[in-house]
Amino acid sequence: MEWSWQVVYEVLPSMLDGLIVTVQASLVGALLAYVIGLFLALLKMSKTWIIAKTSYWVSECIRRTPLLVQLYFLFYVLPDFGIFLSPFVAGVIGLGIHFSTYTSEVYRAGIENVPKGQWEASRALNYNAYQTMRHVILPQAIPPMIPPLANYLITMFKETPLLSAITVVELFNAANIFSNSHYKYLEPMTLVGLFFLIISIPAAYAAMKLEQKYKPKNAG
Amino acid sequence: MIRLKLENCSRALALTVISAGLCMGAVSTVSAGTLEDLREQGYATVAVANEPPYSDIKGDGYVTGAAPDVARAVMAKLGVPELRAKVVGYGAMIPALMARRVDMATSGLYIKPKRCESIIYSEPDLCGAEAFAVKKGNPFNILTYEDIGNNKDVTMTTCAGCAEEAYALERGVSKDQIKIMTDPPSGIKMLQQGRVDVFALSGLGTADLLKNFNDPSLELIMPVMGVPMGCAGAAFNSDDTEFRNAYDQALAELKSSGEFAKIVEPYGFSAAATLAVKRDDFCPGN
Repeated sequence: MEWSWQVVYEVLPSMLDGLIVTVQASLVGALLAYVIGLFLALLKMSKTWIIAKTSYWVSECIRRTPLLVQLYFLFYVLPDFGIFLSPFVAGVIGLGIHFSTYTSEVYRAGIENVPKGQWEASRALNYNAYQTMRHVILPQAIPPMIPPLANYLITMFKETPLLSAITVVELFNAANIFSNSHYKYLEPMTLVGLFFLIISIPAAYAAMKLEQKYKPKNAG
Repeated sequence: MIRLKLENCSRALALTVISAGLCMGAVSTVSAGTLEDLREQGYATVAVANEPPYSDIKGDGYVTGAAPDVARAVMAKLGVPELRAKVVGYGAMIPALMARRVDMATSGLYIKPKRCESIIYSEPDLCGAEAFAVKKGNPFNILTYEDIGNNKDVTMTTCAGCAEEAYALERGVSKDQIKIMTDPPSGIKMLQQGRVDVFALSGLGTADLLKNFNDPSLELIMPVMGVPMGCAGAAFNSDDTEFRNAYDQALAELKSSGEFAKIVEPYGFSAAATLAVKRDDFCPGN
């Protein structure tokens, strides 16, 4: 098997289009995961027993089933109930909801890790709930959340090829469609790997830097 | 300390030896492919697309359908009693043959000049017209690929690397209009849900899907005018000329004895249409 630059030249344009879709899907999916995850975390920490339990189990059900199955459900099953999503929209919703169950745990852990004494101190200062969150809890809770949230963005980026199952032409699918009609796999699949590396290695490096920057100062 | 390191080394060495052994084992099974080897092992591994009536894998894994049934009869004549199927998409069949992941592809893979550059075919075993599935009443009045090309609002679906994709692109359909389906039933689902306007596939394959979906809101357009009748053959690695020639000879016997017609006609294929064509009509010298 010989490496052919001709094949690289032919497949590159459609792969670059695919790369754009991949990046878009990761960013929009991550945004959804961050926002939905925050709501999910608040629901899980609710004082009302039934809300806390329900949201906990909903989140478990989503987290413990494969994303691929959820994507098929969103794309092929929901239209039968009258909910029609385009491939891209179904894809980012699937990614967003699936990963929101992970990010919600990050939020929850972040908030719960603020020492109890901080809450008591706020009460002693006669802060209301907003002031407690805004000035005491969140400034301590948010920094340690940032590195794991960034890591989930990278994980989601790597999961985007799953969207090919619901006809989203992202990076992998663009290469695969080319391979299927040209019978060449070496160059397109190598390029897929390279493109993912080109983006995920710097991203992982940035996440590592974030981790160092936001290392909890009161640790130990 | 040194002893510990040595121990690690020998463990690593043992692992390397084991994995090298495994690799060699894998390589030797992959390189098996000639008829002699198949006779010895008693079965041939065939690629099928699971697209009835061309090929059909039953719930228990038994492979049937017109193409595998013909291949089974031919291979029985050649002394290989069993076929074991691997489900492979049409687009991936040629790479699978070239990489020797399968011994043959018996799934109604059309004989096309571009494919003949990479693989070799038997004489044609199944011929059929092309079809579209559209919404009832054919709202965009699509009868040919040119009709799709002329109306850029219309979208179609077909399988990755299928002949239909090439037919469409050659006849003025733009790439943006083609949404590649993951498998034929999902393609019909996309048509039902209005994600695409036209579903394109082999005539009998499309007819079979519509029969199974039994959806009165869909309509079959067959034959599609302006495209050649698709003729398929069993496909082989291009080094297996000897095997292919033996296959051809046994297939010819099957055709002349009338057994061939008995196999393909219950599936809706015309034996006469197939007997009227030769491989050289599609790929001279393949």
